[in-house]
Amino acid sequence: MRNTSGILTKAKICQNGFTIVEVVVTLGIIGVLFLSMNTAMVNVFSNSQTANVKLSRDDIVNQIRTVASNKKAMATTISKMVGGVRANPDLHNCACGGGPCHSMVKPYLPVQLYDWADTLQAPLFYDAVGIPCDPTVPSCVIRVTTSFFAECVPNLNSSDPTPPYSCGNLPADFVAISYTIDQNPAAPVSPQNQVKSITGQVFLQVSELDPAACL
Amino acid sequence: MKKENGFTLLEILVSVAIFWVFILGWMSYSGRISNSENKVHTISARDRILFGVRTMVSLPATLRNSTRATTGSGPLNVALNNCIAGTNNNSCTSGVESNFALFSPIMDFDGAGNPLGVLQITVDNGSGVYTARFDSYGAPCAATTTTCPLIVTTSFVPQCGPTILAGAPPDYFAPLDTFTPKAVCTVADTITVKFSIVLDAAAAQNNPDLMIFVAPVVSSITVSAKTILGNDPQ
Repeated sequence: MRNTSGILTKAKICQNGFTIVEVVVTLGIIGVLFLSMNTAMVNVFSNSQTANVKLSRDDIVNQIRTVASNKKAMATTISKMVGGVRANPDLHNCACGGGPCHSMVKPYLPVQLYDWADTLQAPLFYDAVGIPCDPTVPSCVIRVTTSFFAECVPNLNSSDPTPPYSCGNLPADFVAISYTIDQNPAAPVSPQNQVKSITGQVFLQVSELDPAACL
Repeated sequence: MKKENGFTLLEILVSVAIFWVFILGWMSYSGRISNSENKVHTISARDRILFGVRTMVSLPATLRNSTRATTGSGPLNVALNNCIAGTNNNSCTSGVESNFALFSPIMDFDGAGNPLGVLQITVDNGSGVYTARFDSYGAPCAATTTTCPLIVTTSFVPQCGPTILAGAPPDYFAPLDTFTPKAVCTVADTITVKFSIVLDAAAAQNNPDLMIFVAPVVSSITVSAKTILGNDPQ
């Protein structure tokens, strides 16, 4: 009979690797850690995407405010012709006279806002990182719209210098470019790309506009 | 001697724990990035508000509405009214700063064209200081919330015109007091509107770093009093 006791002893001594229990416990612990890490990572990337949208929106607000307060840009916006007709006929009336203009018309009248280089700034759509995009694309989540209202010149010689409702074909006292930056209604909404709506106004004294606007 | 290949369970657990500490550190760093983002958009909102208040108070319509605002029995902004309206002789004191309630330049109308009223922007905070509050995104908000940290205050300093000389205008060597504003006047020559934007320490307590990064800003703009209600300085 062969003596196998030596082989058995050697096998017992040289026990390499892990038991099944050790492997299962270790994998279990690693799995739990990775699951919690995965949740945390998703939150981090989600926050990063949300931060992108917020920062882009703030950049766009600053851009719109800069354009709306720039005399050359507003001269371009007021005098802009598209296909032989004025792009902003109501704004032109309130800035230059020669047509009807009323104080505080609601809803505000739409405006196509152009910058100093004759580039359309609004209405326009942007993606989460602030690049203009096609509004039908799902990643095109930010919508920018602009409108305006005016207030007619009051009679300061009157004891009640309340602005009249109608400017009587004369230029207004001031105009305000109102902007709204919100969610593109055509884009799917998710917590990451949700755009918190923001509105604001830029006021412009008509007498201080660039005369070139009304040429 | 026993030869061991591979790792023990303890070694693997220690490795994973170390790895996990690094991940936690990285996540903490990401949290700080998010904090920085909060600072950036608060600063951005502060600058937008500053720009907005500046353009608003530079409109004569804003100061006109602020001058004409009443409590029902008299002007709300008495000092401003004294320097612009010209209804009380010599009641405007040159160089004296007064707080005032800022009103919107916009006179609202109903659908039939009847004037409705004007929105008050800065209101008395209970101690005679007129303030408006905004959140980190620049939207108006209630003072009681901790997410409403930006405070705008408004005040003005009038300057009376110099004494009007009879006869020829002064030459370049005229005495200095020829150009010195009068101490008091009925209508001021200019109005310097001062406005500041500060961070409310109490509202920013959940993010102390914000106090360091979002510095207060103070600015002013000077407008001719005549453009407000058409009255000549006197």
